[in-house]
Amino acid sequence: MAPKKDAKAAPAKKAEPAKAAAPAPEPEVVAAPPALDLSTVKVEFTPDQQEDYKEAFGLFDRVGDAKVAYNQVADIMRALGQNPTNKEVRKVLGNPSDEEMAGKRLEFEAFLPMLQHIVNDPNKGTFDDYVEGLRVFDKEGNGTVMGAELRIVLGTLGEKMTEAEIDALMQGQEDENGSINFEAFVKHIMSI
Amino acid sequence: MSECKDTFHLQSGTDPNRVVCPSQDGCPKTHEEDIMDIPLDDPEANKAAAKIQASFRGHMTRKKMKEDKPREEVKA
Repeated sequence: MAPKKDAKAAPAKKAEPAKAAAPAPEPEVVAAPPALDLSTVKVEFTPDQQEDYKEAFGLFDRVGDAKVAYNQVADIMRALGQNPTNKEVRKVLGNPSDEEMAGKRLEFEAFLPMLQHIVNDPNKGTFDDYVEGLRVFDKEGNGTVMGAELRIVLGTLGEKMTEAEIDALMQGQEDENGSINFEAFVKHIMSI
Repeated sequence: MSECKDTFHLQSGTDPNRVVCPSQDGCPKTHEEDIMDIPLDDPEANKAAAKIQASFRGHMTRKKMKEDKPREEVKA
């Protein structure tokens, strides 16, 4: 089936081809950023790329309706090499409510401009960003952070991680002193 | 008084007496000398943390996908 852009907004408010997401009157989100207008996003992926993305997208479709749930979108983007924050994902989804996150489904053609937007983000984190972010916690200025400290930061700041997530992340990263060389750590994180 | 090496203290903006120690369950050491402020309310710190966490989550998702499926590497 040709990837037409018509059916863009199946999950969003209206199915108008012109305006994809304009959920302005929904004050559901605490720090509500302005709604994003995806209709201005030009999808630049090659047909080959789109094939690949479609395949990955399909892996997440557990229902068989060629769609995925809103709350799966972050993971699909991650699977495709992106690192959006949960907040950024919610924003491209049009700041859905928690119910919508759980219940609404998105089809591939609507997903593509969202992915493109994330890919285009000029504020994407780089190796240097992550290293410098972690360097803040390098108390001794020797290129290491204490694993225990990092665990607390990850669990209390930003988009808090659960203990299970942190455990999975830190597995095998601390040396015998409980320290982590953060450049090596970031390299490892970015290698996949 | 010896310091607890793996202590990392949080002082929330509102309650300076609130401390959290990872070895909470029976860490007998005094922690005063090892206090470090985590800027819980600082938007820049939180933004930086969120970026790092995003990279971690991305990594873990991709790692899991790799483990579940032998070869599915796609780069956007």
